Amino acid sequence: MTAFEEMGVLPEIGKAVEEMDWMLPMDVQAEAIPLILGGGDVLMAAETGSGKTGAFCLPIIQIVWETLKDLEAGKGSKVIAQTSPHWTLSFFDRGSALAVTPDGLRCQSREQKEWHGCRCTKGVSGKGRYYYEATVTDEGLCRVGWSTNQANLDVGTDRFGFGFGGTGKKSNNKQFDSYGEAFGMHDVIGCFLDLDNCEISFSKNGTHLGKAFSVPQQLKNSAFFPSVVLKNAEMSFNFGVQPFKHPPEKEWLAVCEAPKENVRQNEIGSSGTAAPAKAMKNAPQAIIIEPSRELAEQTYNQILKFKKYMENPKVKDLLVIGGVNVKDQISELNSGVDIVVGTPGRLEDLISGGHLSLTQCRFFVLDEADGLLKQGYGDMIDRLHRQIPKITSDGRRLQMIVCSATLHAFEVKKMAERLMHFPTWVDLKGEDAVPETVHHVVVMVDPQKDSSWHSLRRHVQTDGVHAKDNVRPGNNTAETLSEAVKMLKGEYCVKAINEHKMDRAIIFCRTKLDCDNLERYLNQVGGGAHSRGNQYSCVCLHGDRKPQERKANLERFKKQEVKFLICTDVAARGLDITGLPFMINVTLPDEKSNYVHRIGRVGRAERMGLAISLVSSVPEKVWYHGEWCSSRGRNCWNTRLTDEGGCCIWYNEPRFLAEIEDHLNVTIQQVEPDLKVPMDEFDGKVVYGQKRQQMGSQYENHVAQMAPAVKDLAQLESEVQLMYLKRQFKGRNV
Amino acid sequence: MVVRSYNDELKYLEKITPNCWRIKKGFQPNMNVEGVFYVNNHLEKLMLDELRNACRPGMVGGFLPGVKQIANVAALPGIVGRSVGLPDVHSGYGFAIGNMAAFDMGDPKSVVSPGGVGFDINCGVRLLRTNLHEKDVLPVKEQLAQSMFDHIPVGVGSKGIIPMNARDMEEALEMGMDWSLREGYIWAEDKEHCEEYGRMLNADPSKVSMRAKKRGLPQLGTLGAGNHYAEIQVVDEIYDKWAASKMGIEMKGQICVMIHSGSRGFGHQVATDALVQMEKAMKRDNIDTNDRQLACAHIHSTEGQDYLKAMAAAANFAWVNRSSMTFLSRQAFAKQFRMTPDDLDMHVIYDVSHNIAKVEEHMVDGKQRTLLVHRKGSTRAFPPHHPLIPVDYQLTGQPVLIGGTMGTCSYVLTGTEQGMQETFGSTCHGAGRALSRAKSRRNLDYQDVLNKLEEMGISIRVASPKLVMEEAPESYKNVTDVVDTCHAAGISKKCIKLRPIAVIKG
Amino acid sequence: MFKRKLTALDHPSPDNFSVNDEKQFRNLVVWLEDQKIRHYKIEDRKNLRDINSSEWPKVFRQYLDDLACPVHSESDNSAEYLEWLLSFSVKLEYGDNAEKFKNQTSDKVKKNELNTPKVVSQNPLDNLDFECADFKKGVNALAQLLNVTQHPDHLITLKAISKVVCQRLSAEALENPNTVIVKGKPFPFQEADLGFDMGDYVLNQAAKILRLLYIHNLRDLQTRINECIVAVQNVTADPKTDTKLGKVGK
Repeated sequence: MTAFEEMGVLPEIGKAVEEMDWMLPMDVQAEAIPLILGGGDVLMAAETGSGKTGAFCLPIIQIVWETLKDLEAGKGSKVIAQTSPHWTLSFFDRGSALAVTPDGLRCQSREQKEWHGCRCTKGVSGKGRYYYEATVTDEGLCRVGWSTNQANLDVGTDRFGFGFGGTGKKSNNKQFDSYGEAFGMHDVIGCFLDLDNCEISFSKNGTHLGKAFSVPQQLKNSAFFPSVVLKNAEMSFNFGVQPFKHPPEKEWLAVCEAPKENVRQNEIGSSGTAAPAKAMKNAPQAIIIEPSRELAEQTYNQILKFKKYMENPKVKDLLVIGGVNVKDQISELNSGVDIVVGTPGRLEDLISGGHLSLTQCRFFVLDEADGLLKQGYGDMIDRLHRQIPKITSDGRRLQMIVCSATLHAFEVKKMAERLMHFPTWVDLKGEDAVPETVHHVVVMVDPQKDSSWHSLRRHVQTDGVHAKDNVRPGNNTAETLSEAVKMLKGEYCVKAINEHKMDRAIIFCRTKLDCDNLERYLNQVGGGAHSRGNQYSCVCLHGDRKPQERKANLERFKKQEVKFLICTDVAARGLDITGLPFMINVTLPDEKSNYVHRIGRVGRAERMGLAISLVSSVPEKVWYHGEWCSSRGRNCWNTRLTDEGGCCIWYNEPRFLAEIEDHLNVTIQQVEPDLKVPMDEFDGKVVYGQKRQQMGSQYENHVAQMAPAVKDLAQLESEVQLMYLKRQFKGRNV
Repeated sequence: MVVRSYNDELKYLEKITPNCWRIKKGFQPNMNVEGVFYVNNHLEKLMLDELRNACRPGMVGGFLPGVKQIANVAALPGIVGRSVGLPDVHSGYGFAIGNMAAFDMGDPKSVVSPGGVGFDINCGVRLLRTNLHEKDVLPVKEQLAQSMFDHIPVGVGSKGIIPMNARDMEEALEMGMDWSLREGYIWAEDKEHCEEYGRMLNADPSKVSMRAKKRGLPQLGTLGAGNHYAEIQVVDEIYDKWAASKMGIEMKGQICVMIHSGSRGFGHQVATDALVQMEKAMKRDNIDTNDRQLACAHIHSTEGQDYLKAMAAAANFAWVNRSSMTFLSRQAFAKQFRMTPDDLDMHVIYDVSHNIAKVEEHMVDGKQRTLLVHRKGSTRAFPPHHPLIPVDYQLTGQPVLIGGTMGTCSYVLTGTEQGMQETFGSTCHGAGRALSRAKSRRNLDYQDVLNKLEEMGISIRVASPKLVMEEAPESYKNVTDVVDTCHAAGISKKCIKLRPIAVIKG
Repeated sequence: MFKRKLTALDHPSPDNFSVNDEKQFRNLVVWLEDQKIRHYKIEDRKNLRDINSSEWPKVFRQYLDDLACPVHSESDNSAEYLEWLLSFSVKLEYGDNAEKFKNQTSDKVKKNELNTPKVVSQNPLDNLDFECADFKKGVNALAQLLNVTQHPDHLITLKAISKVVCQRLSAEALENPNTVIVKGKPFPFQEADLGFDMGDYVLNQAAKILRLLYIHNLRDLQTRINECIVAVQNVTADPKTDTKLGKVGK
C-alpha cells in the first residue's frame, strides 16, 4: 500500500497521487492529513512548494466524498447519534441558525433577524414535578420554558409551547403577557413543570415568580420538553447533572432524575438518523479561500488531479474568481457543487447574492491567511464564518483549516483564537527566518558617490515624481538625488543581471508603475520586446494587468520563454515557482515580513539562491496613493506629500534595512556597486540554482569522541553473543 | 507483479505445520530465499482471502497482499534464512508490517532498507508494574484516567510538558535514555530493563536532517495519535508463574501501566529522507528490487551507514519519549494515591521495540553469522541465557510485550530457543490490521466504538475521537489468535495476559 | 596522601606532612626545589625561599610557569600543585638514577624479599605445619562441624571454612542474622533449563550451579552499576515539568 494510504487516505486518492509521482508524503502532509481526517482544526505554517495544497486538499476531498457516499446510502448522521443517556439539547430538533455545543448544554444563535429555537433530547410526561435551570450567557433576546414536540420551536407562539422571555413576558399561543421580571445576562431562570397540578412556573435567581400557566387538559398527557428560543443570544442549561444554583424544594425533581416511566425520548434525531439533509445544490461542503486568482487556479488544478479516480459519487468542484463570467459560475453552482475554490471578492458577491449557500459548509479553508488578512479581508472572513453553522445538520462540527506562511504574525494568531476550535499547530517553519538556502546581499545605491547618472545616455523612465522639480545633475537637492536614485537603480538592475549572468530571476518593484517602467527599460536595453536575442526578456505581473494577460505572462515565465518576471508584492503572493536562482529587490519593502516572503521565492527545496536588494542611501520620493486618492493612483500626478493631501512620501530605505536586519537578527552582507558577490564567503563552490548539501545544526556531538569506545563495546557484544551461540550449538546436530 | 490465477498462486504455497506455511521460490521473481508465515486457522483464512482478492481479474497491481510482500522481501540481495511473516502480518509500505528479514553483514551485496524498519522508528511498548490491586484502583478509576490524561500530552501536534529545547533534543538523540537518566527523569533500574539499555550507541545526530529535527522538537515527550496509547491494565491471567514472578507480577488483579509509542514525526522524516536518498543510490549501485517501495542501499555504503546512524538517533528519540512518559505516569499515580512511585513499586518490567534494525549474531545453516536483522512490526524475543537480555531475565528469557489494540487485552510473552532458531529471535508485535485505515473510517462509527468500550467498563480519554474508528478493535486481527499462534508455533511462550481498565489515546 | 611520593623522594617526615598547613606547604616547595627539582640557580631561589613574604604566591605562580606546569587551578589549590610537583620530582629522580631503577621489576622486589632472612614469627599460627596429617584431620573435622563439603585439597576446604566463618559467624552476623541469611524462595534449579547439554548428568548439575552463581555475580555487578548511576544522578539530575507548556491535543 502507498505511504499515503498508511495515513488513512483512500486507495483511489493514493493512486492519483502516485501518478503525480508523490511517493512519500511531505512533512507538512504527514503531520496535517491525519489531523484533518481526525476531524480537528489545523493551523499550518507552510510556504508554497512545501506540499500544503496536498496537505489540506487530500483529506477534504476524502471527507467530502465520504459524506456524499453516506448521504447516498441514506446514512444521514450516524455520527452523533444522541442515544446517550444524558439530557442534552437536541442537535436535530433545532432551528437552522442555532448552534449547540457538543456537550449539548449550551446553545447560541447569532441570527439577528429571526428567532431560532431548540428542544431537549428528552422530555417528561404523566406525573411528577420537574425542574431545570437555564442561564443567560450572552446578551440578546431569549425565551425559555416547556413545549411538546408538536410545538413550534419558537416557544410560545402556539398553544403547545409555554415560554418566559427576557423582556419579562410569558408567552403561550402567541399571547405575550407580563410576568415576573425581565432578566438578562447571568440570570438563572428556573423552570418548573408540575404535572400533578398541571402548572408551569418560573423563578429568577431563586425567587419564585408565581404560577405562569395552567397546562390545558388536552395536553395533560403529552410529553413536555425543555425548550428555548433565541435571537442573537446564548444560554446554557443545567438539567440536573450538576448541582443547581437555586435548588428547588424537595418535591421537585431535576428532569434528569425523572423516573424512567415518565421520560420520553425526543424522536427527532434520537434514532440516529437525522432527517437526511438534502444536499442542497448550491451549498458546497468545502470553501477554500485564496488571496489571488493565480493561486486559486493553482489549487483548483491540484484538486482536479487528486480527485481523478474518485467516483460514485463524483466530487464536483468549482473555481470562483473574478474575470470569469459570473453567470456561468451561478449556473454551475445551481447544478450542484461540492468544493469551491475562490478569491474573496467574487466569493462574497455570490454569497451575498444568495447564489452560494453556506449552510452545508463543513470545511472553511483559508490559504495564505497572512496575505488575506493583509489585504484587508479580515472582516469578510469573520462575516463568512459567522454565517456558517457551527454544527452541520448531520451533526458534524465545522472544521477550519488555515495555512499561513508564518504562524507568528499577530493577526493570524488573533484570528485563530477567535474563530478556530482548539486548533492544532503544525508549525514546521518556526519564527521568521531567512531559509538557509538563500544568500541575500544588499547594495547601497548612492547617487552622491556614484555619479554615473549624470551622463546616462538612456535610462529607465522614472515614475515622474520629480517631473516638475527641475532636477538636473549638479543640483544637489533632495529631489535631484531622489531622481538620480531612480535612474541608478535601473542601471544597477541591469548590472546585476550582467554580473551574475542571470538567466532567470524575479524582480520586485514597489509599484505597478515602476514595474511597467522597468519592463520597458529592460526591453529597450535588450533590443526590443520581441527581439530574438533579448537578453532581458521580461514580463510583468501586477494588479493593473488583465487577468488573462497575467496568466499568460506567468506561463511564459514558467516555461522559461522569458527570463525575468517583474512584479509587485501583492501579485507575487504564494506563486509557486521553484528553483529560482536569482531575485532582485529594486526597492525594499516597507513591511519587514514581506522581505522574508520575497526572499523565500529563491532558494527553495534545497536549491541555493541569490537575492540582491538595491537600497538607496538617500531618501527617495515615491508615489503613495492612499484611500484619499479618489482614482487610486490612476492618472494621479499629485506630487504633494501625503500630509498635505497629496500622494507622495519620502521613502527612507536605510531605515527599512535596519528594521529588517533587526527583525531577522542578522546583518545583511553589503556588496560593492560592482555587484560582485564574494564567493568564498559562502561555503565552497556555490552555484545559484543548484541543490545544496545538507547543513546540520551548530551542535557538536560526541560521536567522534566516543567512536573508539563504541567500537570496543560493539566488539564485546559481538564476542559475547558468539560465545553464547557456540555453547548453545556445540554438540547439537545442526 | 505477476498476476496469476489464485489456484496457480496456491501452488507456490505449502502448509508445513498446522501453524506454518512456506512460500516457495518463484512465487515472486528473483527470490533468494524462501518465505514463511505463521498462522492459525482463522488467520490463515484472512491471509488467503487477501491473496484471492488480489488475483481477481481487473485488479490492477496496486495493492499487494501480505504474502506477496513477504516474497518480494525474500528477493532482496543479501537476505539469509527466510523472509518471515509473523501471525499479525498485514500489508504496508514496501515491507509488510509483521515481517522480519535478516541480511548477512559479511556479504557486500547485502542491503539495509528503511521500509524494513517502518516509518515509526522504534515504535515500541513499555510495561510498568505497580503493587496496586484492581480493587485499589476501581473506586478512583475515572480520576486516575483523568490524571494520566492531564499529565501525558497526547494527540497529534500536542506539545510536551517536560521542557526541552533544541539543544536538549540533540543531546537526547545522542544519548538516548541516558539523557533521561542524567536529567533525573527515570531510575537507574529502568535502563537495565530496556532493550539496548535504552540507547543505541551508533547514533549520530548530524546524520539527521533539519526537517526531521524541526518535526521532532515539539513532539518530544508526547504520546501521539494513531495506534499509540497509554493503558492502565489489570493482570487477567498468569500462564507461567515463575517467569511472571521474575517480572514482579505476583497475582491476578495486579495493576500495570502500558505505554505504546514511538518516534512520531521525527522517525517518519528520517525514514522518508533515507528512502529518497536510497532511490538514487540504487541507480548508482545497480540494485534491483521487485517493488519501488523497497528502496534500499548496500549496508556499507554511505547512504546505508548514514541511515543506520540516523535510525539509531530516532530510536533514541523514542526511548527518551517513553522515558518521559514513564516519568509522567509515575507522577500521575503518585498524585492520585499520595505515595511515592517507589512505594508503589512502579518499576519498568521491560521496554521492547518493534520497528527497528539491529546487528546481531545468529547461526545460519550451522555457521555463525553477523546479521542485520530488520524487524518491522516484529519484536525481538531472545531465549534464556542470551547475553543481551537483562540479568533478571537470564533464566526466564526476554519478556516480549504485546500490546493489543484499544480496549482489547495485551500479553507478555517470553522468548524461546525455537524462536531463536526459526525466526532469528523474533515474534509478533501486536494485533495487525485487518482493515485498512480508510476502510475502517467508512465502516465503523466512532461513537459506537467508544460506547462499546464504555460498556466493557473501560474508562477512555481520547483527544481525537474521529481517529478512533481507525483504531477500533474490529479493524484489527484478534490479538489472542496472534499470540496463541506464536505460542503454538513455539517461537514465544505465553506468560501473562492483561486487560485494560483505562485507555488514554491521542 | 602524598606519603608514598614523599617517601620515594627521601623526605625527612613523610607521615607528618599536612598540605593544608601553608607554612609546611611552602617549606616543602622550597625543599623540593632545593633538593630535587633544582630548576633555578641558587641565587634565583631566594624569592622562593622567602616563605613568609606576601609576594610568595606570585613567586610560586611564576615558578610553576617556569616549570611549565599544566595545572591551572582557580583557587590556590595547593594539593593539585603539590601533586604535580611531587610527580615531577619523582620523574626527575628516576631520570637521574634511571639505571638503578630500571631493573627493579616486581619479580626482583619479591626475590629480594625472599632473600631476606626469615624472621621467626611470634604468631603461633604462622608456625603451623600446614601439610601434616593432624592439620588435615582438624580441617576436615571443622568442615563436618560446619556442614562444609570437603575438598580433596584441604587448603581449599580451609578456604571454604574460613568463608563460612567470616560471613556467617562473625560478630555482626550473629547479631543480625537477617543480613546474611538470604531470604526468599529457593530456586527450583533441578527444573531450570541449563540451556545446553554437557552429556553428563553430574556435569550438567555442576554447570547449572555455575551458571546460577554467574547470574548472582552479574546481578551484584548490575546493582553496583546502578548505584554508581544513582550517585551521578544526584549531581546532575534536575527534573522539571512545566504544565503551562503542555497542550493536550484536541
